Amino acid sequence: MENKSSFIVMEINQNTFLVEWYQKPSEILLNKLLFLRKTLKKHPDVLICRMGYKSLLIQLNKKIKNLEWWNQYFNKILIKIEKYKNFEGKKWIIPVCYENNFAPDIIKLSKALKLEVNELIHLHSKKIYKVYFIGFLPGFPYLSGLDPRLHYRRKVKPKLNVPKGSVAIGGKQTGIYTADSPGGWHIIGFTPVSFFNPKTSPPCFIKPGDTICFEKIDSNSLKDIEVGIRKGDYNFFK
Amino acid sequence: MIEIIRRGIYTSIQDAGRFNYQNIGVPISGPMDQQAFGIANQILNNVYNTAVLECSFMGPKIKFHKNTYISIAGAEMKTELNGEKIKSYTPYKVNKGDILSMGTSKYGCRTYLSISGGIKTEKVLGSRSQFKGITSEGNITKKVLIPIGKSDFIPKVGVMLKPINIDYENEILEVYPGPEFKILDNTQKKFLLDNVHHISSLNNRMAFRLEEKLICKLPEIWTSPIIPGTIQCTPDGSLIIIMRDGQVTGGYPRIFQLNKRSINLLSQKTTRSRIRFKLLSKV
Repeated sequence: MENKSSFIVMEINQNTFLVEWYQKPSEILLNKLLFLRKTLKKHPDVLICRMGYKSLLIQLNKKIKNLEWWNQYFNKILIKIEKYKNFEGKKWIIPVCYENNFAPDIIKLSKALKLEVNELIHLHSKKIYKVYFIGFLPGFPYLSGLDPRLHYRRKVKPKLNVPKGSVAIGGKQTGIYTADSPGGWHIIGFTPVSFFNPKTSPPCFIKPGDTICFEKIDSNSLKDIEVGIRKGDYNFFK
Repeated sequence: MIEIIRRGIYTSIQDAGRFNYQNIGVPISGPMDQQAFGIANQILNNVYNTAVLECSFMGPKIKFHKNTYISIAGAEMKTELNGEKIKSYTPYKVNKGDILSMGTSKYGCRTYLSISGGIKTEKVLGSRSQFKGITSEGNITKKVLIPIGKSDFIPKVGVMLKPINIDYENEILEVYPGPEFKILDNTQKKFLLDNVHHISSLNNRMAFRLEEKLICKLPEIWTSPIIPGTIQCTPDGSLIIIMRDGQVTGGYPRIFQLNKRSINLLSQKTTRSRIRFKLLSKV
């Protein structure tokens, strides 16, 4: 049963409102958000529904008349569904080259974390990460599940240009720069996989609810994989 | 085709925007000043989503390679067609070989040049709006030829289009309280609402940063979706207003949300412009 006070509905502007949960992000909440998003997509008044770690932003195709109605609407759906069916996402294996040439910050970061470089790589590549939502850059997945031993504050001075494909750690998070961008995270590797291409359909293969693993590769296989990706015969879908 | 002879300071192709891809991190884009954009198209009976040139601070110089009609709306730029001054908010016939030259903006910052039938560049993800990483160019970067549609405009005889008076010097931006407004104390609220603020030199299609900083110790929030007009406060107290090309998610407290009119008005302001916030009681 959904506790009535577990979320709050707030108006953002005349046709947009935010539903935000009080609890911390979790896979249970992620499943709930994915379920709600699926349901909302069928609602005739809903134009766009977007996800955050613990919120949904809903844009209507008309002015919001009655926010309380939406509050009750969410309560009703959440009560109806007593057991959230686990969202079965896809599993992706992302090859990452952690060699120094591709990981400008790995030595510094391992020293700061008091870890051997190999331990850092092991801790980063043995975990399974859940995709919560996409944002920041086109195709950039927000991932959960970074080992606490790898948590480290962001750089004081962000780098002006972090190259596309950089795998990095910032705060409690790890992520992949899906485009060249300024950024303050510590770069510990490189992946040849492109997470966003406006010319393909869909432009972004990864979806909220999917999982990602990083697989350590050396620079020789990096070259082979790059060739494979270009030819279209490299498979990183598990 | 139209030929860009001189590109101006920052000129980009914009239609109404790219709406269905925020879920994969793609900004909405579209015109900074939706009102001026809409008027420019309306004058030529173009449909609302017609792609135009958004010209910032100083407009381009353009050679027309076919006969068509044009109209200009938004910031006032001294504009000449074949050396003769032309007015905003009025349809003009242009002929093959004509040269349109747009000067610097005198009043406001962004001017919309609409062409009958519209700009017909390739659509990427459902929109012609230029954005780096989506379209091949993020703005007009060089002398290029741009395809335009067929003109079907028939000017109405005897109908004068009245110039539309829009006060770009109005300092008041109307805001709704953002989700984290309630965590501010009274001194902080007073600081935001009772003072004149200024736009810093960090202002572009992605975001406007203000010069004044809020003295605060606000927590970061769990990253959440944001929209154009969301005002975020960074850990050092900087106030950042998200604009049309802005990020679709943000992890800083959301203090205010500009209403639509105020996003348009802000688009016509630039470095050192004065602004004041007026808090609207709920939406």
